[in-house]
Amino acid sequence: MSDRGEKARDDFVSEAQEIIEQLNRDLLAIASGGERPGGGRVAHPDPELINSAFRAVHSLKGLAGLFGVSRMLHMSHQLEDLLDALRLGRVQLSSSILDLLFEAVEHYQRIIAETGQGMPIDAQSAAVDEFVRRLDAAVSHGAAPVDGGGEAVLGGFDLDPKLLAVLTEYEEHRLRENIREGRQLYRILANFSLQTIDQELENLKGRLKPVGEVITYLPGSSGSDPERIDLEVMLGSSLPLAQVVQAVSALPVQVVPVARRPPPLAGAPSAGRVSLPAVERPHVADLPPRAPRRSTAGPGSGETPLDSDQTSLKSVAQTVRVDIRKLDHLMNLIGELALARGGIQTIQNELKRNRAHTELARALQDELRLLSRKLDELQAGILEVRMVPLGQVFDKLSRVVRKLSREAGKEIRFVVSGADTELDKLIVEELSDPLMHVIRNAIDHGIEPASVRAAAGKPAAGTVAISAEQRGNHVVLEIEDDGAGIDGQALVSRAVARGLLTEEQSKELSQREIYNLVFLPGLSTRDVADEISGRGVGMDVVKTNIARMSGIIDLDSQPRQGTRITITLPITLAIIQALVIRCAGRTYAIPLNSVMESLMLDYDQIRTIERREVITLRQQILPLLRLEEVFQLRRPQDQPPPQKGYVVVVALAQHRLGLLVDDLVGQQDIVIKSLGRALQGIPGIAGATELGGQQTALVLDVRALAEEAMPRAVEAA
Amino acid sequence: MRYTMPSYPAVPPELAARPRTDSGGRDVLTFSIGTEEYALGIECIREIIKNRPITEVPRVPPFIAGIISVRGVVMPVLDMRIRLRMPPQPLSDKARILVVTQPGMEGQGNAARDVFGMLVDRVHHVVRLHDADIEPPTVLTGREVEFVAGIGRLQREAGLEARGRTGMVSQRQQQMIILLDLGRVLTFEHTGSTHGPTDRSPGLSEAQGRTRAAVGLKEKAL
Repeated sequence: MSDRGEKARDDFVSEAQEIIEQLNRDLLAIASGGERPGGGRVAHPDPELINSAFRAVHSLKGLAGLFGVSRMLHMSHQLEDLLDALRLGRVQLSSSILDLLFEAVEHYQRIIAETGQGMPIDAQSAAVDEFVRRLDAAVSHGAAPVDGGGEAVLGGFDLDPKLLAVLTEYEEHRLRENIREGRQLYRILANFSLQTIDQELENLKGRLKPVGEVITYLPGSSGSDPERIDLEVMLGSSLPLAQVVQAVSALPVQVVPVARRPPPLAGAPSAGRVSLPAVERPHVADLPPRAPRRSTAGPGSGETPLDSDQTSLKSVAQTVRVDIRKLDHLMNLIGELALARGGIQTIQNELKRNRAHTELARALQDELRLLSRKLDELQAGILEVRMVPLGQVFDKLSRVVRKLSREAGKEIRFVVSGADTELDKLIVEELSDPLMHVIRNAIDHGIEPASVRAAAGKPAAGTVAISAEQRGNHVVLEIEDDGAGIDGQALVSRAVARGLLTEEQSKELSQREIYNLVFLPGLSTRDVADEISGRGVGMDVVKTNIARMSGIIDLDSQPRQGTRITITLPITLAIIQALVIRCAGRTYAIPLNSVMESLMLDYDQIRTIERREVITLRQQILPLLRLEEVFQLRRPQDQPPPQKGYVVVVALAQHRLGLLVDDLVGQQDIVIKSLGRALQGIPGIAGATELGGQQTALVLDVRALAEEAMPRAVEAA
Repeated sequence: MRYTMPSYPAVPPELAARPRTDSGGRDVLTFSIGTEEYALGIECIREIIKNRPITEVPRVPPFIAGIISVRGVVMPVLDMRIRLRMPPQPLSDKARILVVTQPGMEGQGNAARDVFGMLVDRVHHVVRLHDADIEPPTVLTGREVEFVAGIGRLQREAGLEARGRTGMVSQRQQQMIILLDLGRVLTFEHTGSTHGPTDRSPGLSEAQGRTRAAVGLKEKAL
């Protein structure tokens, strides 16, 4: 495939992905709006949400048409029909309909994934075809002529027949719904300048939204001033007149309750569903170009008026989607600028020494300071752009929870907090799989069946809670369930049986260490699925994935009370603070987040225990690791091994290790770069970074080094 | 971690200017490694830079001199003398690093565009080899045949500086250059010396410490 085709495909995938996420959010909001267990009818969903979902599907349809993804086009079309039927009340929202809608999201995602992986865009899919048939069936069978007999209902209000005649089918439906729900109808009469009608109308709608539902708005009979226009808004609200008046008190508008009147109106258009052609509407000629449009389009034509949402369209236009790689590139550039700044600093230092140039040096210093500050701001700005809210992942998880709880036949309450916590986009992307596993485990194996829960005096619905919180440069995620907890003894005996632990070692484990055995690779959690979690992938993979993002995972459990998993992640991977050290003539960087302290050491303080070099630090034994030995660094001939050096104490969970190095250079912000695929995976090396003056240094992977030095201790950590 | 390199100019401008379209031939860059003359198709060459401090990397095969960073892109540098199993020798100031990449690897995902540095003793020039002047490597025996894509015969005009060089290239008017098989040169395994979670791809912990250079074999890559 050509580069251009490739790019088009990428664009398609990323754009579709974004819309699908929006659709998913809408559906979740609809679902949480009052689903009743047992598949009963769902309480009336917010019509705005249905509209939004409809718009999302409509956009997907357009996108699919544009790229020729026929199965997606086909499905979107049918889905649009269903959502339209929902909007118009021809189909009632039920659990089964919701399931269909969520299933659609999955189909969409599969299609997007397949397309992204290069499957022919016009591929057919039996699964989609089958799904489309079910959608079709839902539209035709689920159809209930709920609007029938509405004549009498409408007749209860003294409505202008001219007004009824221009309502779209959707507006009419909303009108009936409002009346059915016993709301009062209000007419809000306004007079706007043609110049500012857009803003003023938005403003008015914004104030009305909290008190009721804007059913329709249309220009009234025009006054004498050609620069101004009358506008009538119809509002359905359950609040009394006074409160509606108060909501709009700041605006020059008039609120008139629509009077009820007894017998039906004889001359009303049949079923009120007739839409007059535009030319026949008396006031159309007065409309300014951007005044509210009345559409005569029928349902499903894709032209259904959605003009009540100009605000959200505007906000979309203000965002830009950017390939994360472009941001990486910008990051690189900033890194290089920082290096250039270092170069100038050196020159400035030279100048300063020369008395003849003191003035110049001072001036340069001032400029440099400004440059530094702006560079820092630039760097912070780009980092900020990379940040996305965790809500993106949480939304996906909500869907998984819904599906899994259905599959497992368990009722699950999924509680989310801190969804607006932000993390680097790369981390958020990488996070969804591990979190999915953890949540799946909690539902499959943590939460007990309802009968067991009842016997234990727990509420029937199990709770799975996920929370996120920023703490300094880290984000802490907690996933908690109120299920059965983990049987620690079963874990220990399994680990001993597997030879992962000796009998003696197992006796020395703390409670927390016992639970963290779950993360041992050999302890395939599948084998002990009754006590702990695991289906498909074990917790060891979860841990590996988290560790790849420089994260730490920890697990705690209370028998019969539940399990809590804590994941600590750095906010960004792009820039980290590092301690730059030298050893045997080489320079290395150690990520500062794993460094506890560093201290000078006389080598005659080193003792040996079981052939391992240690020192005593504050009454504790600290095992040492000589970097030059681990990496087999040869010292230059003219440099004998020093008698003194530094110990960099690094920490991994509860364990500590001292890295023996020659010299400390200092702290520095660094950008970690990959060594390229050819050299990836060198034990103990996390990547490389630039230090200035064409100098690159390797970044140490402290965890890997420590695992080499004391494999067992770290694995159990 | 994923980082993407900024794009390089496909071919250094001074090389790109040369005609390379007439049929049945190819433009190659010739250079010396040790006493012998080698060549690579110019489509593989991104850039030629002066030798610079190379950061040593532990736990890799000896022919990997280390890494350098060129405009923000970190790449491994291969010491071609050791790669071709020649005895090491101090480098002169004529030594250069060829920044090379496998042509045709572009566009295959984000990370596919691996860039390597190749440390050579001296860079000569770009010459045109006609197909008729390229022989398969079967005429060669010996240790280095593994990396050879073919042998090129070059009709030298008098006065060119490569004339009269020692080694294989001893004929007065006809010079032999060894066309390197870049795919093979760049394909190697490095073996981590220890256990520990080293493989960075998820769920592949069995492959610990062993990573195949992902450049892939491209037999005809020249």
